[in-house]
Amino acid sequence: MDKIKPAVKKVRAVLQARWRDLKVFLDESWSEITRTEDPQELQLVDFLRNVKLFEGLKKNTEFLSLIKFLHRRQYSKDEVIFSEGDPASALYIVEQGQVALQGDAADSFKEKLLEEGDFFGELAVCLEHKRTAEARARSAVTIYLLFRKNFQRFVQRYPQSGLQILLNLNRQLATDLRKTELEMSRLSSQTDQTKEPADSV
Amino acid sequence: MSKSNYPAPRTIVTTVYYLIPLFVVGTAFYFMPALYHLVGMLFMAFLFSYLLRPPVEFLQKKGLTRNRSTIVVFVLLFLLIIGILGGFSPLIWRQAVNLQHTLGELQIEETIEDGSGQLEETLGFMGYLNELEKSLGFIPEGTFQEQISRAYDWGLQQITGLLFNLYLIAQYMVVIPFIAFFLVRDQQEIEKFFLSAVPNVFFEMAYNIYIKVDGKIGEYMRGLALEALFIAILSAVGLYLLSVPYAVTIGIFVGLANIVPYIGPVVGAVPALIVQFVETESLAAVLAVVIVIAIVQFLDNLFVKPVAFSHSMSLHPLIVILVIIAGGQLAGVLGMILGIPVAASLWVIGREFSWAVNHYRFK
Repeated sequence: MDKIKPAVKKVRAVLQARWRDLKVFLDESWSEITRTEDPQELQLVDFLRNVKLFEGLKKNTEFLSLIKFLHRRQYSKDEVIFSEGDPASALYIVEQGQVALQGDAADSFKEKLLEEGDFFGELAVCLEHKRTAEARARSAVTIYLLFRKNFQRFVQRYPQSGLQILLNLNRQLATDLRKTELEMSRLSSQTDQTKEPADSV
Repeated sequence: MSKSNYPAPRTIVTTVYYLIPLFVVGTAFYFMPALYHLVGMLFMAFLFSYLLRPPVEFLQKKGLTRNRSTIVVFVLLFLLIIGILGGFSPLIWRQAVNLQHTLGELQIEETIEDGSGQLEETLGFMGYLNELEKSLGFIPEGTFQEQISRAYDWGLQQITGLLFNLYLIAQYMVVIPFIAFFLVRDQQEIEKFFLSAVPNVFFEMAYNIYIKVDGKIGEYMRGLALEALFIAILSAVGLYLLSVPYAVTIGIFVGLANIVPYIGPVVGAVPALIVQFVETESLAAVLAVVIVIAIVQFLDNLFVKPVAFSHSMSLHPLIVILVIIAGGQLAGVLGMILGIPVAASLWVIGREFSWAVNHYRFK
């Protein structure tokens, strides 16, 4: 009995080693088949984590799936990204450079400058409408496009994260609305003030 | 005039520039019949991939990566095909071989010889008429029965060639899933690769057109698959009830033939009619087959078509038939099958493009 035990142990050790080799082999071939994430994509994920629109999203897999929907585009300085009145179908995320948003009537709102990590054209994912402003590249610009259709697909595929994104979008829109309201009330009170003296005279 | 609706000259030049490769590729395809099957396989795989995308996306929704879900779907598809072949293959194989045998052994020549001999005896002037027409060059060489049997041989060749060119079918069945696998797995990358060539000014427009065409083809393919399945099952059952021999094989053939609109159902019915006539030699039985096939078509038009094609391919019937004929002339059976989706895609592209030209500013 005492003689058999070490032999059994030895055999078991060998078998375990074989088993471990097999597991490693299977793992390796599986990851070979399934293609591990490439570093460029992970870099992009890091960038997207800092975009306000995707605040609160956690899983890497979801970001990787999101990347599949993004289209990368490069614009040279002063190139028009979209003009007012164009049909709107995509949201833009600035990766590099500066983009200027400008309403057509120059004084309707001041030029808005967008930089790394900002997004614009977000109304396009909410409704089918026309662009309400012109976007122009202020410098050489790299941006990512997210089309309405793909946005919907992503939200359907990951409802939890989709809800989070929609909340983020909502927050942005509400902030803009509040700003506009304040501006309007300020303007109307200004016109009231300018009107009153004119009436009294 | 700074906001013209029309593209600036520079953008027109770039558009033409981007059309050149398309033109070159198109010409190459046209002038290289050697690539006929390759192009056919590519197209078929492309269309086939539309059927596999929904299940892949469903699995992706369940949390698998695109790659893994594609692998799972293809493994399941493979098992399904193996299962079907395993379950049905003895039946289908035996029936197919028998059917080919029957069609080959048909004593049609003797029958025609008898018949036309009598005919020529009764109508003595037929011979003179024949001579006259031949001298004028109206009819090809050979006697009447030779021509008939030649035509019959040709028809038989066509049918058997279509049904039983097993080597080619096997090739298609191996290569199409292989291509389709990558088309499904890397769909988004492929899409991005081709769209990345589009200049910035046209990008949003181009992508929107792409989405529209993509959706149309997807709807069309899913409808087609549903219809073919329905017709194959119904006609197999119907023909089996009429105790037509080789009911299963012929049912599958009818379902597949139905992919070509208008012409398909007629072509699909031919083997059933021939087999039934050879078997029973009674016109009533043949009529019963005609009625069954008509009923299947009727049910298809009444119940399946409205659901399957509720809002796809709104092509005029006249255009459809012209496209089928043109496709047949250009590229045979493949052309007939692929003509409709290609024509409908071009139609959608044209419509969306003209809409876009009127709505974008292209600055």
